[in-house]
Amino acid sequence: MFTGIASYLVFFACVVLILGIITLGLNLQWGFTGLFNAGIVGFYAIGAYTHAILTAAPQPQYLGNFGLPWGVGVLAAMAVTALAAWLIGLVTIRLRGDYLAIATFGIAVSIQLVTLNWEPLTGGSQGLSRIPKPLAGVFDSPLAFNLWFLCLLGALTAVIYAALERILRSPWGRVLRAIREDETAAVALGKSARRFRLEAFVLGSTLMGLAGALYVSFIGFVSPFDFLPIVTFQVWAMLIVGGSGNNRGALLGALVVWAIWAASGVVVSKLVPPSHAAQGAAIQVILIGLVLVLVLLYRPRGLIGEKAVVSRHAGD
Amino acid sequence: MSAPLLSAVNMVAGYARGLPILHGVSVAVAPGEIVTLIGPNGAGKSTLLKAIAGLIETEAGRIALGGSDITSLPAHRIVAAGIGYVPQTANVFTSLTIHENLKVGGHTLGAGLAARLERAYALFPVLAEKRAQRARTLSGGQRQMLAIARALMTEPRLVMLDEPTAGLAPVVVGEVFGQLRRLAESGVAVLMVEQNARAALRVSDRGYLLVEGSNRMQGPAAALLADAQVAEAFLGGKRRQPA
Amino acid sequence: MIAQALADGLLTGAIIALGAIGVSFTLQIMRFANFAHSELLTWGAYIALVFVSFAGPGTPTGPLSFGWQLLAAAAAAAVLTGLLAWLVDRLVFRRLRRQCAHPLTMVFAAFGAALVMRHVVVLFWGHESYFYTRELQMALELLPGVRVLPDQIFILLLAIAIVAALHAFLTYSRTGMAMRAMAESPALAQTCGIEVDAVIRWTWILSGALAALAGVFAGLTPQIHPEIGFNLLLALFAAAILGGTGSLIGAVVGGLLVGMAENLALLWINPGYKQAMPFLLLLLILLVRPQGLFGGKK
Repeated sequence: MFTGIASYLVFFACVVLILGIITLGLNLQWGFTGLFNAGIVGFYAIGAYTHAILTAAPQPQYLGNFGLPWGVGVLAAMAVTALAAWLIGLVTIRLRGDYLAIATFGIAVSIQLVTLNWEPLTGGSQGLSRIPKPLAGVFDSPLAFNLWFLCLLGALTAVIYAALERILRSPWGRVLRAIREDETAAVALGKSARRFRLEAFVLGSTLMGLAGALYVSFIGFVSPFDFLPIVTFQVWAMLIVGGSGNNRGALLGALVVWAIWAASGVVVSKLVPPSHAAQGAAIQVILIGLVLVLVLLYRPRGLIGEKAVVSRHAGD
Repeated sequence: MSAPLLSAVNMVAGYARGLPILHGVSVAVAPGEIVTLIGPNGAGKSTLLKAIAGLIETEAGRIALGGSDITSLPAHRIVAAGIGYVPQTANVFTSLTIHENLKVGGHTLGAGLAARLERAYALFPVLAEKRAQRARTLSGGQRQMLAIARALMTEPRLVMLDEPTAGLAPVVVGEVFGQLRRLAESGVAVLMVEQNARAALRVSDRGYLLVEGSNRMQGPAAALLADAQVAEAFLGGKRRQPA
Repeated sequence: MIAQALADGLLTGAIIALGAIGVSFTLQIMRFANFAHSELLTWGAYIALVFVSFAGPGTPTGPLSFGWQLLAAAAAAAVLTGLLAWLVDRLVFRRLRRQCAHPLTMVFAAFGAALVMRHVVVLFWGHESYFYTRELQMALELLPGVRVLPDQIFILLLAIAIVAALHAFLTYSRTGMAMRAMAESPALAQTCGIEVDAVIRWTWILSGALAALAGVFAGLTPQIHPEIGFNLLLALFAAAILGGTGSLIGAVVGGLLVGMAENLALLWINPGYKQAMPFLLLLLILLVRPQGLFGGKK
């Protein structure tokens, strides 16, 4: 029984750290640069599928599945996501806030459609399986592997956290802050402001791609149904709850929101008979949605608290 | 000066709370008077008009119109109180026709709309002949006429204008000031901000010199015109204008 | 083939246009991307379904698959959805506006509201499809190679009538002109005595009503399911932005263009990518002419 609970907790912790890495990426984009990325799940998917396609065991019906080593998959996932983010950013960075939201949302939907439809490469609705877990052979039980993976994730998260804190205190980071806080400074910097924003966008998205690679190498398979828009909503919730503009808050938010999500799932499954599982899932989403909207209405420090309360358009 | 219609006292206001542009400005306008606000850029002249019009929040101070306190009145009720406001930019609805612009100006009128429309066309014949055209097709001077006509639809007791002659040819400037003179003669109070300070003061009864959000000087227009300090403000203003 | 695609596109386009009108005005007047708008279509479709399950769709009139009862249900759904839209604004968006919330807070709140609205539908009706009527229809061959259902033609004509009525409302009525004035310049509109809250109220009610009708039409051709609105979300945004926000004719033309582009694209690409098409159009217009076809400068 103890093993059961321990198993669950380790699994839970792994998911929290993976989501935490995504949230750190979002924090860089929104908290420090003021970019509203409504297509988080798209970059997560790109990283996940790149890793899957490169590392999965070869099978005749699939174009990819090269069976490459884990490390290659992870690095490639980051590289491909960075490239995609760069191309997408070139096109969309200059858009005003709500248009950027629409554009990035559309991109994520399109990416999900590709994962669903390009069967020879992505396995379509079946997804891809037999994705090797790193050092899986060394550990004889799932719990042992998960513990090892948790340590790996912990180390990675610590490195990422430290790197982000360094970067944000660097000259580059300070320019970013200045651009975010003062629109007129951004206008004065002109093209350079756009370059900084693009760089922050790419860096943040790369972290999301990394998280995707880690996710699939943890689970061992990938499916397009893991990359629905609700993931974007969940990550945003994590950033809002944790307080944006603050890396520690991002990680804390990931923990809190995922805990609430998992707990509500457990509560709902206990109260709702299995025959009505779909309704139960709907109740869970409704509850979370309501909680988030209420948080926004009555305790909005997360999303808007960081931005100085100065009118952006004096003289309108 | 007879008893003021508009009395704005110790106005503190700006575009963001805690960062006021006006630091205690006081202004008064009597019925039938033309009062001009002059001063360098950033002095807060437009800000004062916007605060009176309810478009920005007054942090401190009091605005009274005909004895009633209108300080915290929201923008859409200001017109019912009897104030017409012509902003400097975006002062006509370019996507609407002249006729529609005037009708929107008379939004708060009930049955009297038709009569007021005829009155507006009588005052501004050039608008009458173009009434079905969209406002964006008008020349600068015609647009200004439309903006003023729109504000006059409700027959306000006080008309506020922010740089009514900006960018207009000299002939048109004369027309605009002529309209304002006629307005004042009919008993309406006129408060305007003008960068074209000399010309504006010549048609005005009184003026206020605002600098950095405070009253610097005030008095009869002729006195301001003759004053050396005011000449300095003119020079400050003139250097920024193209030849 | 192409002619059929264009005909289909015209019909889908009419539905998209009705939904896009509301999005267009919300984007322009309130300056926020309402991700919950598509759920108003879904709710409209299901509210009409409730009426139809009591009163039935009516015996088929002429070549149509339904009787006047369905139209009555649609009208009732329009009224109720308009009120629902206004209610959501009062409860959520207006409070955020009063707090001077960042526009992107509003976007996120809309996202959350959309999730709640969509899943309430799933809660009560599940994921299965429903139908207003089980009547089969004979397709008419209007031109060689172009087949349409009588229902579809009726919907197109009705949509045209609705848009014409809306145009008259916006042009001649006092409220309509106030909406157009507010869409161009909120500050100037207020200076004319127009109350922002009143205009916003009417914008929501009209948007909700139009969205409901779009939802009913979509549900009629051919079925109702909880994703019916969400599947059109990108198309709605694309149409509104393509046409130029704040413009009625823009939303209509945008809707028709998006509908036709979608269906033409289906001739060459995998239907699985259908939802991505309007999005590509959207990206294109944002790059080439961000103010849209009929939008003025902003």
